[in-house]
Amino acid sequence: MIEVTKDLPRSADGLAMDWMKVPFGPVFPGLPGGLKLTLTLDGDGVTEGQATSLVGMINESEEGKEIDAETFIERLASAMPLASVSYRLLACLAIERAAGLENDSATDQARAVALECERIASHLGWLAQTGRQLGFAWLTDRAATLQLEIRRASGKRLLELTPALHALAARLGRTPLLKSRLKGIGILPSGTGGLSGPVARAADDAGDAWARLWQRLDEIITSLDYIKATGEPGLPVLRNIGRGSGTGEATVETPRGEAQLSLILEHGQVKSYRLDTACSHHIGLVAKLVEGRELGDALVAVGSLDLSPWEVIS
Amino acid sequence: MNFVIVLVALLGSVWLLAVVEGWTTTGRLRPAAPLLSGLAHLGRESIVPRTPDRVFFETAPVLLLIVAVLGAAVLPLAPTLVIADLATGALFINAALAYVLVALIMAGWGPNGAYAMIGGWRFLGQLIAYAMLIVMPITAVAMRAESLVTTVIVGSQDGLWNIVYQPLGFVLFFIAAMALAFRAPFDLPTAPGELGGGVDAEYTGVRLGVLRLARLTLVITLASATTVFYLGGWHGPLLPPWAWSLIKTLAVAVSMLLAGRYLPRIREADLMRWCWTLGIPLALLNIIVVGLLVLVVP
Repeated sequence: MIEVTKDLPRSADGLAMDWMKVPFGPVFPGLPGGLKLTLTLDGDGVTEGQATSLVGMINESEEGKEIDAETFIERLASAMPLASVSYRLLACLAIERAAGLENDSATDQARAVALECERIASHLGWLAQTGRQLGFAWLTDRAATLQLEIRRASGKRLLELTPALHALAARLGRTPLLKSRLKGIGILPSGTGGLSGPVARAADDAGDAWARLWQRLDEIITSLDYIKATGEPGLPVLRNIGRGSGTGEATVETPRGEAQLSLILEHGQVKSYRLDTACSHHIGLVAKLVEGRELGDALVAVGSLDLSPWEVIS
Repeated sequence: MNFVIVLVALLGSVWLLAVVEGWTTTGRLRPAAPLLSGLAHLGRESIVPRTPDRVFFETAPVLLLIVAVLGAAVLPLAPTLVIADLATGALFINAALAYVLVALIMAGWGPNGAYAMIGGWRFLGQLIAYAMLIVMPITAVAMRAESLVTTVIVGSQDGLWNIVYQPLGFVLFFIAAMALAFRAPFDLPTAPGELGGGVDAEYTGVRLGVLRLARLTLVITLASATTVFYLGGWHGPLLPPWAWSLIKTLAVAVSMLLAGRYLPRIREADLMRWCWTLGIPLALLNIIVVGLLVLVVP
């Protein structure tokens, strides 16, 4: 027996076990498509892990190739399918600032409402994904149905959906086993830098998966209140920039955290750009979150970060 | 003859359960869907993973199906409608169900894949936690009937079903039965969101079809056991005895299905902790209470 196990790695309890390196993704039911999680498993426990995106953008424009401003906006929006409105808005703002356009309050307001609509839909999408991961079929169905309705809804219809969203939050608060499944899971070490969005805001509370769930549910209600007070959403559309030139920077609080874009505009063409997103930082937290956890808990912890592999910039 | 009737009843119940399962999942009531799905499994390519343990891989789905049918063999639909009215029927069902573990370990080990293997070992860990919660409530049921014969156990509930006589035992047995059938929220061996199907992950085509049939049959067998041990078996007014048995069995099976839909999957560590620290003491308490009732109440 000693001969057989003498060179094997030791578990935390001192037992010698065969460790397995197991890929989860890029197509896996409990994780967003495009995200590849590689975990080293010691039985049902995770000894180490790392996450990579197989679909993220590369943070540089092609050498010497200028892109038309409208095309740039479309490309950026379609490259981020889980937050296309946020990145469309980000690109519009950066280009308009580079072109020296002043803010227009009516436009800003309509854009902000569209952003909040996307935030609600995105958080519902995360809830549906979490339901899928936890085997909680009712949550998956309910959140996915509401997400589709939100995506199609006008401002008035959104307000009609308010009771349903409140009911969803209340129901989750009463669901047996849910708290014990999420409480204490995915706590980041104190002083962890680079946090943004709901993950950062939940860190002020308990900082675990349960706190992140309630942070997102609170944000859904806050966004609804904002929409109620403001008005109809308006999809971000680039204003007339003519053949403007200059340097522009913009920051948008996307559903997953802060995204920053700086670009150089020359005669209405985007010459170069630099994009920074929350997910690019959050993906680096995976190793800390999964180490020493049971497999199920590790996957819940990764899921609670709401990583969008498209928003991981390399 | 009894064998054929029970087998037909078992298949009919499995079909109805599959229809209800499809209804809750898709929102559409499609009576032909289970049959079409079965045919589709027959027509699909049945892929064999690289370097499997061929014996384990091939045997596991069939063994699970045999185990489920063996368990049903000692469960009566009516006073004379039982395949084998064994003197040790209640013990036999325990012995038969023990092989669910063997089948799942084989299904986990056989394909030589990580997800399946973790699923199989998870079930082993799970079994240690809930196995006592299957055996101990049945012990209390047999104490009241003063027999291990399943028809006698049903007869002992004439006038007062065990769900009223020993409600604690019913709750523990129902939960443990769900865990043994690895239905949500106890679907740790398959856990689609964690293991991509676990023990099911590497099975395709006709093998997957047999595995799914076996899982549904196991649910019906355990629902039937719950009916026999706690819900008065065939007892009921107006309808013939076999009809009451089937109605109760299907009601229990559907409630197992629905309970999982509205709950998240339990954590493995929590399941084991609760079984050991709460479930077993409660099962012992149930035996003591039933023992006192048997002594005090004639």
